[in-house]
Amino acid sequence: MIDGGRSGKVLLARLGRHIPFWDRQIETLIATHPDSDHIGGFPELLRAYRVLSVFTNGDTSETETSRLFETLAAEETGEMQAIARGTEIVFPEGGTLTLEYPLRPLAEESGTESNEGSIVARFQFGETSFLLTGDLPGEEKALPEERPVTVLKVAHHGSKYSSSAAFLERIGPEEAVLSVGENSYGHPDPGVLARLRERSVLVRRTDEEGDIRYRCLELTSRCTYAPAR
Amino acid sequence: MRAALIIGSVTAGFLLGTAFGSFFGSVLQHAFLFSAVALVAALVFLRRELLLLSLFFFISFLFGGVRAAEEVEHWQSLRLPEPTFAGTVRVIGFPERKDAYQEVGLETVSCSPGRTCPEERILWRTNLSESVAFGDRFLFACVLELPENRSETFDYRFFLARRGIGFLCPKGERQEILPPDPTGRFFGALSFFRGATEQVLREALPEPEAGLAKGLLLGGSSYMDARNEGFFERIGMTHIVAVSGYNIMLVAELCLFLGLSSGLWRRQALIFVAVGIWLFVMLVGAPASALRAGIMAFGVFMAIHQGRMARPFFLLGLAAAAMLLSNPLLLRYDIGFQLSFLALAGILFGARPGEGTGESFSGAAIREVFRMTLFVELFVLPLIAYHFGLLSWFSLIANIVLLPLVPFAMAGSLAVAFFGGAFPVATPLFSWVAYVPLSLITHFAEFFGSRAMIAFELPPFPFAFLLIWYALLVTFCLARLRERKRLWYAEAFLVAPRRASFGSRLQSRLAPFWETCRAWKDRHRLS
Repeated sequence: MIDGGRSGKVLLARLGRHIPFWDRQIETLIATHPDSDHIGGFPELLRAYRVLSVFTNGDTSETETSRLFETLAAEETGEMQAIARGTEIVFPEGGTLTLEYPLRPLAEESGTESNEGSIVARFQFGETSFLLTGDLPGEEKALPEERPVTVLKVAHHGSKYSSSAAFLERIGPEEAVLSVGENSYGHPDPGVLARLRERSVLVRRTDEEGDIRYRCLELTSRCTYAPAR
Repeated sequence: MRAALIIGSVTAGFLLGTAFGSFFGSVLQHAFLFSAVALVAALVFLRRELLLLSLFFFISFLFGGVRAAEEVEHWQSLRLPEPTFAGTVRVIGFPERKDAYQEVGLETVSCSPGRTCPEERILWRTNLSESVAFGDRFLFACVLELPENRSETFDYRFFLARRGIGFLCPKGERQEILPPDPTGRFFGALSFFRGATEQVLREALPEPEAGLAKGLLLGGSSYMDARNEGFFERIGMTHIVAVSGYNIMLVAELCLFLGLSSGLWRRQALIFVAVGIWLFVMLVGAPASALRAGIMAFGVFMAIHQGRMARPFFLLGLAAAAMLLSNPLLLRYDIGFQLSFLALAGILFGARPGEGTGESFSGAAIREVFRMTLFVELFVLPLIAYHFGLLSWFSLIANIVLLPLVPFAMAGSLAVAFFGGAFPVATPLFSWVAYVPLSLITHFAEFFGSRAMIAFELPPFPFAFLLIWYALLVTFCLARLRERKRLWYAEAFLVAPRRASFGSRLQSRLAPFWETCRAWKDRHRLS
């Protein structure tokens, strides 16, 4: 599981609809960065599920949510581990999650603006690849060697500081997923939407479609979009 | 004169007086009007018995009215005693956990020397990581605020006032935790038990099924996320997570079973059940619906204890009067109180004695369920529409389809909570039992609740419309009762439909237990 949204109730309710009810275990939890809208749901998740390992980018925050998450994660798993580029998580049924960013684990309270240290991960399953960009701004500079990708999870809910034309040109996504809800920040930015449209990228938005699900069944075939409900 | 008639007229007078005082201000100012009414009544009803009944009615009406009006006046004119508070407080009620914070009700025990101690409770908003439990005592300092109404349609001040809360404390500091006293230990044990139940269900079931299970056992729709809560609202099924007579009946049966199987005599078992019900009401946080059901169940057990037949309308009135005597604000400002009483009134008015009796699954039984559900909907839907601006035409169908699943969902959830807590290894087995009915309910709610035409949003409408509706409905129901040879209103009030009543259902369910009890005692004596 990568990031858990702002609300524990919402996270658990959605999760309950996507994994079998008897499966009460999350093998790996990754917090891309310690902002409340990404880790706010984790404390409830840690109370409800057995979590085997928790990974972060190493950065911490002084917020109440972050402290609660750290305490519960430590109780559940012993210790949170900081990860960076080069880390690989291999799925037993196929597929590999490779960390692309940050280049090295961040120091606690590194002073970096939280989003700038956001974990970026690539999930490869057969021919299909997904790039999960957290809230990273200016990806074209942070990820100068990023390879083309099938599905892009658009960074920072479609913020104007992410998803530049140069970056989109480099990775050439076929589909883009926008995780966005009601907000006062103006996400997603019309400029980002226009750039995606110009490149004929199929955009799927959680505020319009709800949960967005891809089904990856066989390594020899592509992952396909499967409407959640 | 029958004592029941006197109690009936006093109860009716008190309830109507409280309603009048809550809505129309001080009845003292209108006392002349009531004096005139009383005079007319005295002239019209020449019979001594009726004159006396009118007098009882009138006095209790005035008492209820004055009391309610004074209470409303007190909360309306509430001011901050001092901008800050410092002293000892006790946690009242179970903390309410939101997504980013928790709300804790505090009662002042004592104040620092030289300070004015507020009589009203304080609502403390604090971090989720703060460990607070019902009954805790601690030294506390905070900056007090008066709650403000930020919406014209929602009276937040009185929403809090009905729980005795007069002040908000967004920035408070717990300075020193005091050792628990007997009260604290009792509520601490309840908190522990409640927390353990929540945790077992949370670990055993996925959401939203776990949220529904917690709601069914411990009460409240806030365990579910807003989306699923919305689905239940749209299909008119939120009431299943309000602890009410049904839950109380299950608890009573469980306690009775435990009491009898542990060798208690019949009367001892009844006391055991009464204590069990009272503890359960405390465990769920004593919301209005649970209190109402608890008081009525207590009345039923007292009736059984005395060898009498319980009268549901009578008990309903007494339960309302007892609750309003303790807190008159409930009538106007507690929607749970209003819905709980209206729903039960709907059940009692809707029931037709004798029809479908003894037939567990027949045309008559289905008609009976349909009619009672229809009556409940007629009683509660207008109030829901008035308060929430939502009218769900689908709720009648949803109730008929889903209500039969609720006992299975509750029993399964109880099994998970009980056996999962005692034997964690067995949890997955019981999870299956609970998950199937819970999942059927949540998926049904999600499927239909997400359809656009299932409920309509209504514009605000005048309160007078609501009054007219209920006046017509009650008139119709009374006429219906009269049709069934209940010629006297008083008689209709006292001789209640038996089969569908809470008391009679409970009594009929108890019958096999009495038989078992007698047989067991006989065997015991012989051996």
